[in-house]
Amino acid sequence: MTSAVFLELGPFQWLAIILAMGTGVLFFDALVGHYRHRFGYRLQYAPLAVGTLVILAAVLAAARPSVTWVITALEMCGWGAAVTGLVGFGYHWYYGIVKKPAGLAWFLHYLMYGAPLLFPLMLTSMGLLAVIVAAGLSGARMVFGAPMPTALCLFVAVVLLGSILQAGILHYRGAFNNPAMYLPLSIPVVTVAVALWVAESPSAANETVFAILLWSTLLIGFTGFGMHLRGIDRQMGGLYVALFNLMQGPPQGVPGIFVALAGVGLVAVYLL
Amino acid sequence: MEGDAPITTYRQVLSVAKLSAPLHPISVHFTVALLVTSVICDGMSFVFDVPSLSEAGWWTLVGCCLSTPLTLLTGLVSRMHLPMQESVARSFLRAHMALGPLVFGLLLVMTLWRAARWEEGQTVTLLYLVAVIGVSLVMTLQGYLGGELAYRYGADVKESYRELPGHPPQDQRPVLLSRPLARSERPEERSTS
Amino acid sequence: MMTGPTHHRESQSQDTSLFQSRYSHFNVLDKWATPDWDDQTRDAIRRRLEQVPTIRFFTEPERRTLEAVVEQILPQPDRTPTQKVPIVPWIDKKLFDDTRDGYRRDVLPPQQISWRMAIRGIDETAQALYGMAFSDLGSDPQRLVLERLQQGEPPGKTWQILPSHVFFSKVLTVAIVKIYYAHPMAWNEIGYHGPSSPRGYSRIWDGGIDPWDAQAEHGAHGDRS
Repeated sequence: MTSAVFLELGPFQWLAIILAMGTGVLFFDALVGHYRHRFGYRLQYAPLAVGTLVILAAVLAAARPSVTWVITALEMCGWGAAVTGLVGFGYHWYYGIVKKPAGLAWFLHYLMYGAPLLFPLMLTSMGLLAVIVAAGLSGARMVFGAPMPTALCLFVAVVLLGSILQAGILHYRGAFNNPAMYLPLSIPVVTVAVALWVAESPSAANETVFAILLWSTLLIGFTGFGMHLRGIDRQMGGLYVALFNLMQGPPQGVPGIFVALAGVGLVAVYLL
Repeated sequence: MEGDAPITTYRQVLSVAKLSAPLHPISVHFTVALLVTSVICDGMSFVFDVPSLSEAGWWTLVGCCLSTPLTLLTGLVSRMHLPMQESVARSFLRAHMALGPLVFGLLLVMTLWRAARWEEGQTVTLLYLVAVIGVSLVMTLQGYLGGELAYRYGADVKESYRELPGHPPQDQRPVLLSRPLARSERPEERSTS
Repeated sequence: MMTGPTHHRESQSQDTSLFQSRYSHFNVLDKWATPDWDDQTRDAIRRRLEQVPTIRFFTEPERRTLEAVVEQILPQPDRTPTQKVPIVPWIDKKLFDDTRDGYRRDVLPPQQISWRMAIRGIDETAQALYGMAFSDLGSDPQRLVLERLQQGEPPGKTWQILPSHVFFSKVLTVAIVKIYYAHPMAWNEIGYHGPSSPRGYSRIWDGGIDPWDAQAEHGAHGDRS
């Protein structure tokens, strides 16, 4: 595994920065969503607490990549985030769907209008990324039984697929009222497929294709940021009733997940 | 500014420290100027093979990328303080808001691309130049939207003195004849009604 | 800048121990000049506050009887007569314009007929029980008359045609309460932040309180989710 340095930062330092930003956008959306629910369940504070720890650990790891306790802290925070995300998924599933009136009989309805089911799993994936970064910083070449580049490509494939599904169901709820809402279902799907291909048999050719798709996915993420911001102004009252529309409208942070995942893939392609 | 009096003393100039003026127009200039300078420096370095211009092209792009989050943030702050009813102007504003983060994303991509070239110590490629000029065009579009907001719709502009009193004049401009008056057109020969 | 019409509430009252608002410092009209309400909302509220309709449908004796009935159902004891939320004028307007609800109990005639019949029936019952018109009775006899209506089959010819318990609980009381709670003073009492235009409702579950709602003062039921 060739480990290139870019702007004097190693690949896992870049991944740590991306991890911090990805967790940051999730933190923002969890804050808004759980505030909307008035933190009715005490455990709704958990993703905020764990997310903060992950962000701090990731920033520290990027700044001080060779300090052992920093790496250990990052790994532990990563596992904490992974578990928190799973618990959150359980809550979103049980209290957000099963326990609601009509429960699973209205599965599609609650999938669209209830607590977003796959969001907590994004926290889990950020936690697993933290574990991967910690392993990489301590010099490991394999993680979860796979070589680093392969593991990262599989990571991108799986988590991007989940993000596409979550965006897809919510854009379906919005009836694709703007053509740009098809974007997360377009190129990123191809990115997932090519990620799996690169994970299986990397070559210079498919890595180039992968890189192009990843850059496109990154730009689609930024497009999402802009469109979601436009979206909350289009609602009744616009940004003048900002708190209300922030709680109602398209989540402002999640397009950043597409940016973060594209970043992870790009690090895997260029630096590993 | 204190009151609406014209600025005549340095003390009045210092009142800008009260930050009563919007910051977004200030921050926008950095994004625009640094990107344009970067393109020009890299372009000239490509044509004339001047290494220092290539360095300048890199560092100005870094400055652009680093200052653009401030542009986005001040833009958001300006938006929150801007009362604008639902109108054509507001749809311009939404388009400007939607395109902003994408411009930043493109700048980020170009900066990372440029960084790779800088690390290798080489001048840019033609492909890079074409791409960065393309990004400049997108930024120009964004700037155009912003300009429409400020200069056509007066967004965030306190007073808009667009007209001089008595201008345009209400009465018709006299026509200059390029031929001599015919007998029937001469005033002294026209019948009074 | 628009300032809304204000209605102040007297703190002196006869029976304040019976009713106390948990939102004594809340005035929903503070939202008048905020982005929470738009022009349409302000128009509607201004009309409701200032354009109280005149009595056109009811005759004067009918109006008197109905005022006395409303005074029993929804007394507003802590307000002087000029401060009370007007209710009878809005019932009168609804009947004069014949603005129907879109549904009707099949045992009741259309609203213009049933209200006139009911008021006549109330006076018949009062005559039968106490020998006087309803509006001339004291408070306790009036309440007893209305209780007979609520229980069903009170004395009076009209009630042989018009089922009194149905009219009482499904039409009379419902109309009075709806009109009362459409008034900003009532909104202040319950901490309701007014029509959701343009700002809507966010925490739309049982007990959910939005961040911009009035916060209850003491011992409020927090929202359980």
